[in-house]
Amino acid sequence: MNTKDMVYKILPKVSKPTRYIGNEFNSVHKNAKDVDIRFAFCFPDIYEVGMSHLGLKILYHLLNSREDTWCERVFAPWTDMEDEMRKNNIPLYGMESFDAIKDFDFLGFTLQYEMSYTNILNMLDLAGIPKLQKDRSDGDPFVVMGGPCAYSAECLADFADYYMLGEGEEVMMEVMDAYAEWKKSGAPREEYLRAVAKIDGVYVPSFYNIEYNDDGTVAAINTIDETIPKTVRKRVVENLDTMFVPQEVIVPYMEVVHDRIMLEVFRGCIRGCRFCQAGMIYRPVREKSPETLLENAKNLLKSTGFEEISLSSLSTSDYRGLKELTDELIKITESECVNLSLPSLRLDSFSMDLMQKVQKVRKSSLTFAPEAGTQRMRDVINKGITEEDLMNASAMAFEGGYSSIKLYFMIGLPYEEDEDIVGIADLAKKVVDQYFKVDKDKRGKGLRVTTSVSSFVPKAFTPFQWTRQNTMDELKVKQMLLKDNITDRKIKYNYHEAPVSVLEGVFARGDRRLSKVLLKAVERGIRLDGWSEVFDYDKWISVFEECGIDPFFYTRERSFDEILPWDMIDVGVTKKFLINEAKKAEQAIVTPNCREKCAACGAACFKGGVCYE
Amino acid sequence: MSKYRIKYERSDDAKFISHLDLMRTMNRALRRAEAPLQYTQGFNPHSIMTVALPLSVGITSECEYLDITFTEDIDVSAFTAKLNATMPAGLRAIEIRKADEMRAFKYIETALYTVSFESDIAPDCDAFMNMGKVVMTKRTKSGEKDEDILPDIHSVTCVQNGETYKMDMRINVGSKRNLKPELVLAAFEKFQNVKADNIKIHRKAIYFDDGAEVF
Ligand code: SF4
Repeated sequence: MNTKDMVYKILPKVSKPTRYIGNEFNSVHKNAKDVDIRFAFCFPDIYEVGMSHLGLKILYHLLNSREDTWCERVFAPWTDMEDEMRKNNIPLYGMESFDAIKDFDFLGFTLQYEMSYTNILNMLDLAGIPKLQKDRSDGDPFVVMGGPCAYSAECLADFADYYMLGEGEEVMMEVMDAYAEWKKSGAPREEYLRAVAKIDGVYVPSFYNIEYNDDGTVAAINTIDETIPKTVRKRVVENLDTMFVPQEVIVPYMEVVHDRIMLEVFRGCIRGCRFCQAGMIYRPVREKSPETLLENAKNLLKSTGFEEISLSSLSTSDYRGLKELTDELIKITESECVNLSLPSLRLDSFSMDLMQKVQKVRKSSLTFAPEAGTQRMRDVINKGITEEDLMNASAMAFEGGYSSIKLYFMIGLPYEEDEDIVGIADLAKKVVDQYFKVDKDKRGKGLRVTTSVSSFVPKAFTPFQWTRQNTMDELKVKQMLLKDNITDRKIKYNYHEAPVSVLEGVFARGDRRLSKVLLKAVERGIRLDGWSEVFDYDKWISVFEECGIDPFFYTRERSFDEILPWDMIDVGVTKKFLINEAKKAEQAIVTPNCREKCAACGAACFKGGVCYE
Repeated sequence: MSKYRIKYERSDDAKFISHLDLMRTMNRALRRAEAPLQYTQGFNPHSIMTVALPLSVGITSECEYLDITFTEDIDVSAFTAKLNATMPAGLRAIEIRKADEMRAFKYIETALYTVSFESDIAPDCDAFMNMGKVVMTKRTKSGEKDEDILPDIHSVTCVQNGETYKMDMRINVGSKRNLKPELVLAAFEKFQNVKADNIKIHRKAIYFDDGAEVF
């Protein structure tokens, strides 16, 4: 029986079988005999999460635009499917061909969040591919990684053949060209790695040796010889208007998390919130022109039939073409009965107006992210929102008929005091008061203020990369303190589980000695850590104990002169800038955004975007 | 405004799509084919689509029907081609007819299924039909209940083909009385010890209460 028949036989026993069958409209099918390169784009989470990811859509169609390459998709199976696959000896397969991916040329993993790392190893295991890079040999695929976490994924160094740092649109094509050449040459495996190590943005971890001090900190990062670059700089696409962007995307059968067209309006963020990794690593801000976006929107609507378009960016209100774009988009969406959704808007009068215009469904809820409860704390994290902003915005919302507001906060931030925690409760209460100030017949019915609180996790390449992360006990005390201070029944209080945040923090700032912990964890059956019904903290702690590694070594405070495990990576933003920002945080001094005043962060080295506007 | 009835097939590649997902999939295919869809008025406009007899996951069919309202008349053969050019694998429009004058799906009463399977024991359809009473546990919204399913079976015949059996059954379906082909098979297991393996269920035809096929 071939793999497809075997899969079809077990599918009646698993939940949501369309996760595993492929064949969706716009998926790309080629004849394996006609291509030289078989590429498995592996998303280390389940289908509905992976299929919502914009990067997958871009790179899938980009790779398939090459005549010599067939890119297929692979996702982590849910537990029921994994059990059936293991029971029936079905290897992990490419969703388009149902061929086993162990026979492919590449497995490309995208690293979107730390808690998906075990899925990578579990997928290698299901595929029957040696997990450790050093164990792979002729005939095995190259395992390559990219995505936002790749800048500091040293804990995966033992498994990756190489990382692609930064935006993949260009570098991906270059490493494929190098592969085609290498394959023709018949040279040994290492030669290909040596060839790509010369390409900007490619980091080959096995070409770097790490020395450690007695206290466990990094003593030195050495390259194996002089031909290997001491640091690797990320890649950015200079002009987003001319870069590759798919004019068709796959239309899933099942409802995925983002079941709609996503229009990426710009990359980067001018704001410079100090906790935010995305805001630092995607610098500098580069925008697409409204014309490019409208053209793309029309093509995508035609080629997919989706009933919704969403604008995607880190902070859509900062897009300078927003009015022009939305004016035109609304015309299209109205004539074609398409919904327009606008996440990541700042709540000002322009966006309130805009939302009134696109509002198709009954007034639902609005979201604000003050992130911290007091002005001092918001200055520490450089979140440029004042209490007045929030009060004005909520007044506007309630007057506009909304009655449900979601507020996002973090706890466990650096320099946090109890009063900052209590401040969250106060702020939520003030939003409630704001509602009752509005005329009874003007405001909507059924007030609900949801306060969602997550635990801060310090990330590499942010001003807080040296900060000590709160322990689980500290976080729990703060969660309870907040709970006790929320007395109003109109306020609903949600918080994230602390144990996941703590582990996320370990891997976010880990070094390559954690590779063995990941390996052991997957041997113990740990995976799908992003799913609370599967996540098992105690099991993790026992794995750390077994490996003789203290996880909290990685969440400790670090000094500015300590060599960081990711110091061979250059994201453009300089350490000098980050240290300066860290010092300003301590004094609660804000830094203006890129458009107000350039802070000389270093990202100008990429020669484009906001730095040259 | 015109109503059209689309007859389409759902083969192996599309058999795992759930009913709700299938509605969304068909809606998107119609949009891609630039169908002149009529939308409902109001806050959340959607197309006006009705599906005859939602098919269970895992079953193939050559007689799926959906009614869809268009703002204007279409050239059915040109539109059929256009729609098929944009259908995902496993779904194919067989025929489209104007449906303004057609009977509604609520008058559907029976369906013909072909069930193929492997078994060591041959089913005896005549004996089965002559049992007088075939009591099985039916799962309904309000819980489980025991019921004689024989009145819902109009005919059942079976031919052997090497290892596999092919069973044709015409049974009651729809809003009044509804029987699932799987339950008939389970009855053969219960009363004749027929342990079916590698089961493939396929719907061949759907009939109105006057015995006429939908089309
Ligand atoms: S160099 Fe200046 S303008 Fe450019 S990203 Fe950095 S702070 Fe912003």
